[in-house]
Amino acid sequence: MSSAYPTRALRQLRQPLRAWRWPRREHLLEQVFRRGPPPFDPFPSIQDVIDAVLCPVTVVHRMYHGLHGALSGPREIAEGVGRHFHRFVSILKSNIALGGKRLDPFTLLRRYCSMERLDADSESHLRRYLSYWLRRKRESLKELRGQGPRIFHEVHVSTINATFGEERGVRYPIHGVIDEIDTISKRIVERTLRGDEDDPNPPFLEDFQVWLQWKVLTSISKDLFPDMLRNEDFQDYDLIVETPYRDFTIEKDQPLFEKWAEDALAWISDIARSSVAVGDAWQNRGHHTRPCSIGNEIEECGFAWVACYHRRRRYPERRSALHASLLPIYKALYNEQIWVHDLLLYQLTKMEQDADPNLRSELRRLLTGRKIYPLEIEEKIGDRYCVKIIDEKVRMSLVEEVQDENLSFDVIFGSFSVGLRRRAYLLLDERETKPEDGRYLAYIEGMEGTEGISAFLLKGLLLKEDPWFLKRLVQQAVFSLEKWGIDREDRAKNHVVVRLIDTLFGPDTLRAKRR
Amino acid sequence: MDEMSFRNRERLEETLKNFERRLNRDQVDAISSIIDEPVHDDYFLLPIVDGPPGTGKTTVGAYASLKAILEGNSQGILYIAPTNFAALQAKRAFERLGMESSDVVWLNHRSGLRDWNRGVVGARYDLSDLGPNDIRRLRSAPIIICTPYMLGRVKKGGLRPSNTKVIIDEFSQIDPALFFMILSRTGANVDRYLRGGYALLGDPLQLPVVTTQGELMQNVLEFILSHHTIDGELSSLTLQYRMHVEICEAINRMRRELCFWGDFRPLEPSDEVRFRDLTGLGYEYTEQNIKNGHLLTSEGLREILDPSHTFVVINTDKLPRRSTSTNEERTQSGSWRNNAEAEAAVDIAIAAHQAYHRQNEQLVPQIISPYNAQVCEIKYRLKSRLQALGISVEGKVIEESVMTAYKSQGREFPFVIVSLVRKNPERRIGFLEDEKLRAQVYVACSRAQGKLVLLMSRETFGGRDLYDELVNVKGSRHALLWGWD
Repeated sequence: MSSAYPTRALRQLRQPLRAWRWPRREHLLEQVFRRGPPPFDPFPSIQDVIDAVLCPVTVVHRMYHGLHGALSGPREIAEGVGRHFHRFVSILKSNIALGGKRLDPFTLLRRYCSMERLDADSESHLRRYLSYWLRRKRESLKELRGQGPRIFHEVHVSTINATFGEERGVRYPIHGVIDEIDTISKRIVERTLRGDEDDPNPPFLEDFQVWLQWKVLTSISKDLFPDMLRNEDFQDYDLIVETPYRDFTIEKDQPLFEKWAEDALAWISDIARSSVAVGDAWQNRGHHTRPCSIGNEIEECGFAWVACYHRRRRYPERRSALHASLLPIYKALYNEQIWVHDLLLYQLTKMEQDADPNLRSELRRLLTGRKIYPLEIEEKIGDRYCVKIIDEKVRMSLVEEVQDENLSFDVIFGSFSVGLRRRAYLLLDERETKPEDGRYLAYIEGMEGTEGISAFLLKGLLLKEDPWFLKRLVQQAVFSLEKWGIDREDRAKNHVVVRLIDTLFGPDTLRAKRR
Repeated sequence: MDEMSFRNRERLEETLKNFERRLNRDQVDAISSIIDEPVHDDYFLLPIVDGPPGTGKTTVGAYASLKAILEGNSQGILYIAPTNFAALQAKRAFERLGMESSDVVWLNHRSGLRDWNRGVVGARYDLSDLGPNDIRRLRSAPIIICTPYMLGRVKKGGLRPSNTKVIIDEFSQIDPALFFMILSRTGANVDRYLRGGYALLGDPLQLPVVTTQGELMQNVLEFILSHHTIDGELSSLTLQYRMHVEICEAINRMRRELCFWGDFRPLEPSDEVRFRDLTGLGYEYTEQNIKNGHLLTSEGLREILDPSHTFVVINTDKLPRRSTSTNEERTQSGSWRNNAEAEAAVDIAIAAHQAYHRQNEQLVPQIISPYNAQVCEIKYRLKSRLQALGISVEGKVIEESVMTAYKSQGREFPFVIVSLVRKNPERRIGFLEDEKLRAQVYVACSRAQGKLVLLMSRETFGGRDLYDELVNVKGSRHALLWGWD
C-alpha cells in the first residue's frame, strides 16, 4: 500500500491553515438537510491531534479506517490495563482525600479487580505498576488525607478558542479529557504506563499531550468553569507526565509544540476536505524527528504493522476493484460520523462559548429536549442513581426518544466545556423508573472516586448521542477485510469469501437462485 | 469444536415433515437454494430471497436453517438480523417450528443477561464476562442469532464452526458497508474458512438504514446489482399469507412505484387470506357498541369500522374542527405531530375496541406512525381516554399498541391504523417524499391482516405518484375513501 509513495527523509511542516472551516449558523441550528460531505471541518480530539503529530498517515487511518490511538506502549496497555491503572489511582486518591477507611492500597486493588472482573494477568500487571508508583507516592498520599474533594479526575474539556503560533489568529476547536487536575499541588497530570524505569525523558509525545491539554484548558473562559475550579489560575499550574517510575515536569513555553499542533490540525483539515491530501500524508509519513519506512518504523506507533505495512496476499485477485468500491464507503462512514457526532460537539461547545449571545440561546433552545435534558440526582440506590429530568417541558421529548433501541447517553456534571462526562445507562424496566414523571434509574459508569464532589454532582445534563461509534467499528471491520487474503490457490478456490469477492468484482457468474 | 445437537431432534424432524407439506413452490425453491453449496464449478451461489410482507421469509430462513443442520449440510447457523427486535422475531420463528428455546441463542450486548433456558445471552465486547462453560455452550448451540455489531464477539470466541451457514435477514437494512463487515467478521479467516456460505433474505423495498450519506442508503442488493449482473432471477416469494386482497392490492400499487429494478412481480393472497377480513379472523362485530368519539361521530365511525370495508382512507382535511388545530406541529425533539389526527386515530381505536370481540377478548387495534412525536401523542391520548371511559387495559398493551413504522417491521396485526401526520398549506411531507424513506408508508400499511385505516391529508399528499396510487381504489368492493368528495 505505502510502497507506491516515496518517503521523504523528514516530514515537512505543513503550511498552517488560514482559517478553520466552521459549521455555519444554519448547520448549527439544523436549518439545512444533512446530506453528503459536511461543509465544515471535523471537531478533533486531543488524541487526534497527537496521532497527527506522530504521523499524518494516522489521520488517514482515523478518517477512513476508524483506527485511533496510534501511540502504543506495552501490550498490556492495549488490553486496558492503563485505563484501569488510572481509574484505580483516582479511586485511591479520592478515598484518602475524602477521609475514607484506611485501607492498604493493595487490599483496595484486590477489591477493584474483583469488582471489575479483571483476569489474573491484568491484576498482576496492575500490582506491579502500583508497587513502583507507591514507592514514590506513599508520603504524598499521606499529605492528601482529609483534604476533601480537591483532585479532579477525567475532566472533560472542550474549546472553540484554541490558538497556536504567533499572531496568526486562527482559532481551532479541540476537545478531550484531562487525566487529573490537582488543585492541592497545582498540577495538571497526564498519567501513563509507557516508558521504562531508567528513562531520563518522558515517554514519546506524552509531554506534548499534557501541554496540549493545558492549552485547551487555558483557552476556556473562566465563567464556564465549575465553582470549585473557577478561581484557579491554570497559567501557574505545573504540567506533569507521571509514569509509575518518575514524574516529569514539562515546560509551558514550547515554540516547537506550537508548530507541531498547527501542522497536525492542518493535516486533519486537509485530509477531511480532500482525498488529494491522502497522497501527501503518505509521502510525509513519520514524525518530524523520525521518518518511517518499512524496516525503519517508529517503534511507538501501533499502526505500522496493523495498518500501514502489511503483506499482500495473492487472493482475492480482485482486491483492487474491492478497494476502489470501498473507498467511497469509508468516506461516507466518516462523513456520517461528522454529521452525527462532530456537529453535536460544535453545537454544545458553541452553546456555551460562542461570542454571539443570540446563537448561544438559540442553540440551547434547539438542543434542550432534543439532545440535552437538564437533570438532578435525587438519590443513590446501591451502585445506581435515581435521576430526575428537571424541566417538565422536555420530559415527554425524552420519552419519545427512548423508544429507539440504539441510544447512548452520557451525564455531564458542570458544563460541557469543563466538567465530568460519564457514560449513563437508563434502566427503563426498573420499578423506580417513571418516564412520565421524568424519573429514571440509571447506572453511571466511572462514578467511583467522585463521591463528595457534591457541587459537581447534584445537577447536570443528560446528553443523548446517536451511536456514531458503530460506524467506526464498521470501518475497522471493512478495512480488515480489505487487507485480508490467502496465498494458497487450493484454499482460495474453495474459500467462500475469496470466491464471493472475486465473483462480485470479476466476470464470473453470480446466481441468486440454484440452477 | 463441541458437537452440536438439537435437544428434541426426533420431534423436530416430525414437525418439519408436517410443515414441509404446507410449503408452496416458491418457498421450496428458496429453501433449496439456501441449503445448496455456495461454490460451484461454473457459478457462485449467493441465495437472495425477495420476500415481500407476509410471504413468510423469516420462516423460510428458519426452516432452511434447521433442514441444513438436520441433513448434515451445515454444522451450525449464524442468523444475522439488523436490529435486536428483528433478532427476537427470528428467534420466535425458530421456536414456532418446534425448536427448544435453549437451542436457539440470541446473543446480545447486555452484559450479565444470561438465561440459557430462554436462550438469551449477553456478553461484553471481549467476552470477559463469560466463563469457559458459557463459551462451550455457545459453541454447541445449533443456532446463534445476533445483530451485525455482535459479530466481533462471535469471531473472538470462535463461536461458530467452519461449516456454518450465515443467513442475513431483513437485508433492506444491510448497507454495503455492513455487508462487508459481515464478510470480514464471519469468513475472513485463513485457517477456519467458512464453507456454508451466505444467504440474504428480505424485501428490498422495505426501509433502509437512516443515514446522511447516499452511498450508505443503498441496500446490499442494490450494491450487488450496481457491480454485477445476477444470472437468472432472485428467489421470489409472491404468495402472501397475511393480507386481505384489498390491502394486498394497495400494497402492490405501492410496490410498483417503489420497485427499483425491472423484475416487478405482484403479490398474490393465498386462498385462506384472500377474503379474510376481521370477521374472517374470528372477530364479531357489534355496531351498536359504537359511540360518538371526540372528533368523529358514531355514524362516521360505523362507516369506517364496517367489516366489509377492509381498506379505508380518511381524508384528514375533512376532519371536523374542534378545539385542536388540524394542522401538523413540530415538537421540541424535532419530530412532528398532528393533534386532530391523533384524536381521530384514538376515536377509531376505541370504537374498534368496543365493537369487535373474539370470544372474550376485545380487539386491540394497532396504530402506526412514521413520527415518534405522533406515537407519543397518541399513547398519551389513548391512556387518558381509556381511563375516562373506565376501560381497563394494561399499560403494556397500550405501549405496544402504538409504534413507529420502523419498529413495526416484521410484525403483523389484525387491524392497523396508520397516521401520516403531515398537513400544511405548503404541502411539505419531509422524508415521506424521500426516494427511500417513503417506504415507511409501505411498511406500516403492510402490517395489516384484516383491516387497514389510513389517515392522510389529501391536499398535502395528493399529486405524488406513490400516494395517488395508494388511494387509487376505483372499482374496489372493499375499499372506502372517507371525506374524499
